[in-house]
Amino acid sequence: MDPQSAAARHVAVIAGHLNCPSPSAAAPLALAACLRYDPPELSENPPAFDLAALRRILDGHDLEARDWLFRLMEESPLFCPRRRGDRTFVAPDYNQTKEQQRAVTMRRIEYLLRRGVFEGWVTGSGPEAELRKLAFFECIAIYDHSLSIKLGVTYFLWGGAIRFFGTKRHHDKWLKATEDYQVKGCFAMTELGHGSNVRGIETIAIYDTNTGEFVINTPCESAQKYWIGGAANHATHTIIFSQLLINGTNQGIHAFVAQIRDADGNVCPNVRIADCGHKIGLNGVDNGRIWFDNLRVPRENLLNSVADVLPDGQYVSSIKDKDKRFAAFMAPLTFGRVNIAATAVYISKVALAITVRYALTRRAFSISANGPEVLLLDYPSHQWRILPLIAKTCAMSSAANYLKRLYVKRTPETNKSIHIYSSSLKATLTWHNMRALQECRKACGGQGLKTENRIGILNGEYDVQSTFEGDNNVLMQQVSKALLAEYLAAEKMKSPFNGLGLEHMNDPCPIIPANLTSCTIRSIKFQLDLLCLRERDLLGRYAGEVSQYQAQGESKQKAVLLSHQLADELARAFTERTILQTFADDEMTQSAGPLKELLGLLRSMYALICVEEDASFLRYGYLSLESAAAVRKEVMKLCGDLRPHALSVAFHVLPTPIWIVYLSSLSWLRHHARGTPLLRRTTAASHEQLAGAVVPDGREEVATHVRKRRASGRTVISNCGAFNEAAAAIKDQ
Amino acid sequence: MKVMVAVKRVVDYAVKIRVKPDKSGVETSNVKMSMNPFCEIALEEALRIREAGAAAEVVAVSVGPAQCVDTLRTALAMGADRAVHVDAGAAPVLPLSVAKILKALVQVEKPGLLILGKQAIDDDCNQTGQMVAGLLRWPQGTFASKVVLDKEKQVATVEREVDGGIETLSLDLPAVITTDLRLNQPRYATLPNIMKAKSKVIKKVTPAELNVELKPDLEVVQVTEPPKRKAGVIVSSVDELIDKLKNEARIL
Repeated sequence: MDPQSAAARHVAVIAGHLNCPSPSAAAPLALAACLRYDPPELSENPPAFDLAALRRILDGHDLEARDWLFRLMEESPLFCPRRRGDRTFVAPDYNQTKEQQRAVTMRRIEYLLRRGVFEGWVTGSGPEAELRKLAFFECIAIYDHSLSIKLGVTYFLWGGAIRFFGTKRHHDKWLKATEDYQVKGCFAMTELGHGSNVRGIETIAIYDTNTGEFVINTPCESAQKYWIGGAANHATHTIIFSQLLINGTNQGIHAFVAQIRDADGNVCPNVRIADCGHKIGLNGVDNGRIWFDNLRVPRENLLNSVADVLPDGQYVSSIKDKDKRFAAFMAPLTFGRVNIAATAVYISKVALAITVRYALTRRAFSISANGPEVLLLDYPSHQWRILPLIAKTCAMSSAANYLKRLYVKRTPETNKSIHIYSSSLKATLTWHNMRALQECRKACGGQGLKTENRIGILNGEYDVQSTFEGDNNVLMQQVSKALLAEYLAAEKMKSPFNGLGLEHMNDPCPIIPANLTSCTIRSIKFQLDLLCLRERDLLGRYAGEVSQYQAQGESKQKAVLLSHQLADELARAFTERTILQTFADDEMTQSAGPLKELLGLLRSMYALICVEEDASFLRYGYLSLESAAAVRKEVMKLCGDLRPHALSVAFHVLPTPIWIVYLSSLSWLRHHARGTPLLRRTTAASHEQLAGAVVPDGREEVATHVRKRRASGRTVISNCGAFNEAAAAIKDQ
Repeated sequence: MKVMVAVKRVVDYAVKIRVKPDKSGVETSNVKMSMNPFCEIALEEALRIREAGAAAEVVAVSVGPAQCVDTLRTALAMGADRAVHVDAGAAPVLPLSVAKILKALVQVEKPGLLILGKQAIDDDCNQTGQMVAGLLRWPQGTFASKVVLDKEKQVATVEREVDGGIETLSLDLPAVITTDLRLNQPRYATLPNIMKAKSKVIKKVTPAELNVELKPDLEVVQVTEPPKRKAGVIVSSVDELIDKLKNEARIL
């Protein structure tokens, strides 16, 4: 008994010391005032509007499915979850070798497969299933671009090709196997010498009538397939895009299914594969190079939804015109562009959220004699750098949702306009993303260099978006080309404009008032009028310049090339007007209230920053010098108006759980303030335990159990979290 | 044989608890609620017993206000066959009242086994299972870390975690079991199952219909946070440490 009571005495003394402050108040080692940082939520006002409603507008669809997927990621050690207080952060470890990153990406895919995330991705159909697929894809991309690309290549490119280019015999053989990841597909379209110009690829397929097989060859080094995601290590099958030669006639681009690896992972004969090597980002994707040396595939492996080769070698197609056939062929690839555009918006949101939180905790320089240093976001110049980007991102969010809805409800008639919208939005949103990432990196200073803080690494990971699935410049040229065609057709037929939002061209030319008041500048009518005016004028000028060159004897193609400056401005004008319209439409669906006012502020900021950043308003005289100055002043005022909402908008604009992103401003403070103890909750029970109580604290017990299981790499209880949201959502529905 | 599982909707274990400013209780509005982790384990055990063939049906039961239905849907999504919601109104229901309600339900449903979590993480009472076993005069195996059912002999062998180690009991069915952490790992509910559970019917009963009178015999007078721990202090040398231990903490 004696040692027991001595221990109890010791414990009581220590407990007493902890509970009561010592009478000698002088504490020589008090924490200095300068180390006191508060998370911005404590000092900023609570949101003045309904956050959930804002999220519904900006996310658009499938909120509970997204939350479910984030929970799945939090639960598995494969996603490197880290707990800080009561939050879980997940982020990939980019400090691994490319082999390690590729391996862990595969394991993550297997985990998600087991949890049923991919159900219906290939075999499902209908707008809801497609929207949900897009939602899941966005969430995966927020976590890791490599993971989303590795999945996209097999499920959307390979799987989509089988689905839309293939017919029943292909569906029966490969669709289910793809969904179950038994067949790992890849998409061999791009070659070393041809990327954006798909029609120029050089791989050749010749039909052998005797054996009923296609013989596929890589005739020269520029014809090798390059950057084929999944090919270097894991893919078992591929879609080969090649020119089809029948009886000496080139029938154009066609797609063939071929196996490139057997079940044991050995490369098949007549196929050579090499690794594209280390990249500046996306090292979780194993990009490969492929050469085909007289590879023979059965006749049935031609994906024949649009054209076919009969056993006797006769070529048949339901579409006679070669150009139209090619367009019908390429139509299913629009999905990729839609997804890339939407993902780009989310990554901008991630970067801006981190930057805003950082700017609301980091201080630099004081502007009064003995005053504290000023928060970064309180500087007008910092607001000018960041807040317009937030407004643009929100507006583009609406546009991306519009595009997604258009896409899932597509019909053959809408294919052409979807192609234009997806091209213009993919280019614009990915360019904006890269600009936002660069600006945000700089706005976070040194912290932006830390991989852990995500912004810097996203630069390397997402830069590819501006050049893959169509180089952005090429895509924008297609937009201006299409607009020119619409203009010339309307002129020739004397018919009104119909489609692509060009109906405003049928109305009289909008009049911009000479004296601009703040009220006018912030009105939706003024902003739309101004952007429509720019589009109308540029379209006319572009058509005029092209016809002028043609009148001088240049060919149509050459004239278009020479007018590239106007073409560039026109495509941008079209896109910005479209984005403004979709954002304004979303704003109008809201009933009057703080949320609608906030959307109005963001919308005005978007419109005015477009005006501010485009020289064509002054170059072609859409605004006078005084009006332009008034607009510029208004943007400054808008910065001030948006500043109080910055935290709520930027931060909560992300899908919850918002802590999916490893937030620099929280982490760098807790991380670097060594010696600041993490506030641990001491419960009555743990005090009791000092005195020897019986019933353990249930919460502590569960939390410790969960922590231990996670540390040992096992998966964790916690259905609790997983379908709490889903259960709530079930109730809502 | 039927297995009945009682589940409770509590504040999620990972949430930071805040006390209401008027000290009347803990902040539960706008706070994430989930199924009590021990109840999840209880439900999982019931499902495994059914899958092993020793039981035909798993019935999930919850006592509380209307929002309990969320927890019951979670149970259905995990695989329970039926769910019963006893609507006891908005006031919190204490273990003795819950035990009386469960006793009444048991007399209606006649299960061969009643499984509960060992305690709820919001009140840490650790009483309901024991009380209902007493009211029903059924044998009880609490803090179970392993359960083996013998269908033929209608006997449950329960290993319990006690202070001294593991105690093994043999209970004649019908019996009450309360579950501890190491009994099993609850399964995930897949999204398709969650969607399916959405349309299942949940039977609603009131205490009056069960002939149970709920009179609260305990009154919560005040809820306060425990006193905050003072931040630690970093000392720069061993000498300083000894000095502080001697003069401030007065331990040496």
